[in-house]
Amino acid sequence: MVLDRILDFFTSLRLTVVCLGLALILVFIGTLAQVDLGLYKAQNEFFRAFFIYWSPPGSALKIPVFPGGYLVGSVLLINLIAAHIQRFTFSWKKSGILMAHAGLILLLLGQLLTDSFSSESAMHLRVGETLNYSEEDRHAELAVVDVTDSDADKVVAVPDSLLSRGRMISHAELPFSIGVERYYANSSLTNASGESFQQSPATQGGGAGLWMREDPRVTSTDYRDLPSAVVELVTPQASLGKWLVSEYLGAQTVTVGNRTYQISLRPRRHYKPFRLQLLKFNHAIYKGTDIPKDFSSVVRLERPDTGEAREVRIFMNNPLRYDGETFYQQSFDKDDGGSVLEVVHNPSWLTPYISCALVGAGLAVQFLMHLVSFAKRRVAT
Amino acid sequence: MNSFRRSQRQSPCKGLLIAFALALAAGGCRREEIQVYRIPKETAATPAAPMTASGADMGMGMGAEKPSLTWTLPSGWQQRPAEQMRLASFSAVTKDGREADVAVIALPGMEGKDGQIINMWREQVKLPPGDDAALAAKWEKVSIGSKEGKLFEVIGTEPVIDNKFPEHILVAVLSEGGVNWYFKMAGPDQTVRDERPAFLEFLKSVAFVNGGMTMAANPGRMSTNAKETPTQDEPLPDWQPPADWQPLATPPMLRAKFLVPGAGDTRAEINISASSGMGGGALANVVRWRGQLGLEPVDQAGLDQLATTVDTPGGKALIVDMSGTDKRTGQPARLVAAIVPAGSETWFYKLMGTGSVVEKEKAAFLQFVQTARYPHGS
Repeated sequence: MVLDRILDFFTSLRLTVVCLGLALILVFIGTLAQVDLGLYKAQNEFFRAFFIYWSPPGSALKIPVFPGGYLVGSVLLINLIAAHIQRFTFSWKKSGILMAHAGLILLLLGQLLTDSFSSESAMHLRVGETLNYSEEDRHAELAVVDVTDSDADKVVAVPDSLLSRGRMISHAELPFSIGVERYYANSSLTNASGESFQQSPATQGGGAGLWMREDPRVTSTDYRDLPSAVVELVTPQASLGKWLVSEYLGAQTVTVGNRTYQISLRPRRHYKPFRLQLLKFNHAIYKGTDIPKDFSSVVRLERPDTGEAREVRIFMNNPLRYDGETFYQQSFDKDDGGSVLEVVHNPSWLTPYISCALVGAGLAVQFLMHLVSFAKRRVAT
Repeated sequence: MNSFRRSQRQSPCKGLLIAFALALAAGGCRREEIQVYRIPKETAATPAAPMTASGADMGMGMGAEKPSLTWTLPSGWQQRPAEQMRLASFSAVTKDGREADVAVIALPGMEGKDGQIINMWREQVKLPPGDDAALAAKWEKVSIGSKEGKLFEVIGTEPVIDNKFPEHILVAVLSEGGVNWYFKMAGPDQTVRDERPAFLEFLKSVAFVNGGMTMAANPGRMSTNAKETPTQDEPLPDWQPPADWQPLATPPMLRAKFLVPGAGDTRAEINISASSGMGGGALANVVRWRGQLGLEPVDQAGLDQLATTVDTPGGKALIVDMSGTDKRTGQPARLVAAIVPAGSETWFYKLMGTGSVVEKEKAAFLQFVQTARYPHGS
C-alpha cells in the first residue's frame, strides 16, 4: 500500500542521516550566502523556504535546486516522531535516549512555533518621547486612518505583501478601493528628473510632480528598504486620483464625504495597551577611548487600564519583559539623543531552554545508567 | 529486549503523518490580512525613520502633510504652494506692492553646520565666506513659537536682484530633536527691512502640531553591539589616493578632503562630498562652482558645451574644467570637478587651486575618480 511505503520512508534511519547531512550543508551555504544576500534575505531564501531556487541568468524561471530549511526541518521532525511511535517501546534502560529525543522533537517544534508566531519590531524613542507602538523595519503597511472623530482614530492597515501583488484591494472597513499601480519594495524619490527616475504618475497629494525609481533590495543589516507605491483610490462614485505613498512622505489627507482620512505608507506597527516614555539614555565609554562601556535606557511604563506606572532601566542583557513581550536595548541614535528598543514577541521562547534541559538530562541519565551497570559488573567480577 | 523492533501499531503513525502534513500545509498557506483597529488620538511625536535610507532623503522625511506646523499669517502676506523641499512658502508683500519670499524648511542632521549654511547664503548674495567663529558671534536670539531660536542676517552689497537691488536674507533657525527648522525671508534689501517686524511676529505665532518637531529626526542609529563608536558617519568608497595627496581633517558636509602641495605657495585642494539622489542636479552645482570662481552662471545648453564625460563604475561621470578667480583669495584659480552617479547617491569631486598644480594633478585626479568603488553604489 502506498501509505505503508510512505510510512517506511518517513521512519527510515537513513532519512534521519540524510536530513542531518542536508541540514549541515544548508547551514554552511546559507551562512556563506549572507555575504552577498545579507542576513534577512539569506534567512528567507535558505531557511524560511521549502526549496532553494535558482534562476537562469536573464530568466524569471525559478528552479528548485536544494531543499530549504522548512523542508529539511519538517521531514526531520516527522521522521523523529514517526520512528519513535513505530519502533520504540518504552524501557527504563532507554529512558535517557527517549528524553534526549523528546528534547530534540521539542526543539524542532519550538522553532516551528517561533517561526509561526513570533514577531520582532523596534521602538525608536527620542529622549522625552512617548510611544505606544513598535514598528517593523522589514515590513511596511499602507495605513488608512479615519481621523474624523475627536476621541479616537480608526486604522485600516494593508500589509505590504498585499500591496506587492499589484491588485485591487477592497475591504468592508475601507472607504475606498485601493488599486495598486506600482509597488517598489525599495525606492528613491527626487524632485527633479534623473537617470533611471520616472515621473510619478500621482495626480493628487504631496507625491504629484516627484520622480521615483525602484532600487535593489537592501542586503546590509545596517540599512533598510524604503518602499514607495502609486495607488489609485476609487469610491463607488468616482476615482479620487492617483497618490504616491512612500516612507519618504508623511501622511496625506483624503476626504470622502464628510469624513477625513490620512493615508501613509509606513513601517508596520504593533500597538500596545501601554506606553513607554524614554526618560534618559546613557552611553558610557571607557575614559579616553571610544569603546562603549554601557548602554542603558531609563523608561517610564504607563498602563492606563490598570493604572500601572513605574520606571524601568533597560540595559544590555537586562531586558524588560512585559505583557508577553521582551524589550531589549538594541541601538541608539548617533547623537545619543534617542534609543532603540528591540521588541520581541515569542510565545514559545521557553522551548529551547526546556529542550536543552531535556537533551542534557537524557544524555546524563543514559550515561549514568551505563556507568552504574558497568560498575556493578566490575564489582561482580 | 530489542526496543527498535517493528511495532504493529501503525494506525496512530499514519494518522500522525496525515495530521502533520495538514498542519504544514496550513502553515504554508498563512496569509497576512488587513488589520482594523482603533487607537486613541495620537499626541506623541511620530518617530523618526530608524535607519539611513538607501535612497534620496531630499529633506522630505518630515512628511508631505503640510503643514505640520501652524502660524498666523501677517497682514499682506500670501501663502503660496510649497514646492520642492519647502514645508511652507509665503510671499511677504509690502503696502506698495514689493515682495519678499518666505520659506519654511526642515533639515535633519544639520547640527553644527550653521557656518556652511550661512556661507551658502552669503555666496548667494555675493559675499565672501566668513569663518565659523566670526559667523557664530553674529547670531541673535529670537522667539519661535514658545521656543528660543537663533536669527541671522545676510545683507549683500552687489545688486543681484534684477541688477538693481542688493539681496537681503533673514533666517531664523530652531534646532530640535535632531532637526533644524529654517524660517527664511529673502528679497530686496529694503523690502526685507520693511517686513522684518512682520517676520518676527510670524515667528512668534508658529506652533508645531502632532509632534512635528521630531518628525524629520533621522540622525541615524548605532547598534549597541558596536565595539567602537565610529567617528565617520558613512563608509567611504574603496579608493586609492595618490601618495602625494595629504588627507586633511574632514569638515562637516564633506566625506573627504585632500591637500595637494605645489611649488612655493601654490597648492590645490580636493573636496569630496556625496548627496542622496541627484544632490540638487549637475547644473545647480556647476553654477555654484562657477560662482566660486567669479564666473557667470550657465544654463543647461551652456553646461552641455562645457562638460565632458568619463566612464566610472557607477556610470558616466560629468567632468567640468573651469578657470577664474577664487573669490576667497582673489587669486587666479582653476577648478576641475567630477559628478559621479553611484547607486542612490551622487558623489562630487572638486579639485581647485593654483592653475599649475591643478594642471599637474588633473590626470591623477580623473584616474582617482574613475577607479573609486562605492559601498552602496552600483
